[in-house]
Amino acid sequence: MNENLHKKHTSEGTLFRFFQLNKWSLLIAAVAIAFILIGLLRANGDEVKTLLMKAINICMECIGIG
Amino acid sequence: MDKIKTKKKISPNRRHLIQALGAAVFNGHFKGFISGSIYKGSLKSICVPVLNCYSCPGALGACPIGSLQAVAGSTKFNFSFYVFGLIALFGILAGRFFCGYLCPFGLLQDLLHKIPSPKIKVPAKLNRVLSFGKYLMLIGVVMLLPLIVRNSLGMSDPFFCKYVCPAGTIGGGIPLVVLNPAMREAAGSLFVWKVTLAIAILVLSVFLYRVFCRYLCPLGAFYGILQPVSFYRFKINNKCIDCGKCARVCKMGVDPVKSPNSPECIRCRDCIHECPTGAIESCFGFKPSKETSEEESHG
Repeated sequence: MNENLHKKHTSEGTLFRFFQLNKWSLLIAAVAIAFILIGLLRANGDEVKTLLMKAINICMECIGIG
Repeated sequence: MDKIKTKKKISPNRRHLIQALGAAVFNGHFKGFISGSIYKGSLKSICVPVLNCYSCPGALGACPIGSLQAVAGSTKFNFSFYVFGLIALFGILAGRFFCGYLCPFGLLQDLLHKIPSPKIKVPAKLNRVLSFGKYLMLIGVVMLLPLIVRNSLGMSDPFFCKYVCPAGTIGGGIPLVVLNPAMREAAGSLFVWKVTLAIAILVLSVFLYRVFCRYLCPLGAFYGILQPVSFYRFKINNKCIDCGKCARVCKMGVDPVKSPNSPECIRCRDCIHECPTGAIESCFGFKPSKETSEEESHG
């Protein structure tokens, strides 16, 4: 019983330390995910549609013709 | 010791194999290379984590830098949250690992650098100054120019793709001009400029390792900014004997002991394989070191 309690305490401690040591990475990852969601939902998904429309047509500028 | 020697011989080839597989997966629309047309499916709404032109006949996904400019240059939006978020997510997960292991244009430069020839070693100071070029490309050409220079309709050009990107010329421009007669007729002075620039970069790559990645790539700059805080990290343990072998083997001019998570490091892992004591470790997430844990438990 005591051993189990100790194990739980240790794994929680490691998890806490992981969060503490990676706080900036986790914060940036959360902001990145929020940006992706905003982009997906923005103007009824028009942002992604705009991207798709550009990507499925040959970009004359990109290939040096336009 | 033998184990380390075997690793040294196998590892670079294994990396090139992964790079080749990455290039094949990102450009899996093989019939485009025969018909001279591009893939038009919904996968194109997802950005790949590397510089891979969406006008390449084989491209299955969208180039993140091209997408960032395309959305910012449209009439409806000045900034793409979706693309910026995706690039930031790739960068925070693995930093410039994508440059070293998945970028098709990186593979091309790696292979060209293998051609036997005298190699140029750029002095550290000059290298540092030149490496700012890629940040200038990212902030100036990719992000600010499309916001400042707009036509009467409120649209702007993808300046980086249009005037600089050699990956677009080699992956998209040249195959389409060769395969598609209509494109061949439309090619003019801009195409000549882009082909000249691409050839210059490729020729330089023979003598100078990854010249484009080091000094011009805006995607590498973005990942480089996030590399010091990305989850995938290198760290130096207490086995380091300061022999300097890692710094000497690094083709990107990084001293891994001084800065294991330098924005310039492309995570090729040559330093890890060269280290005689196994002092350089890679990990995912900042792990509490053993010494710290032991000290804490004793304390």
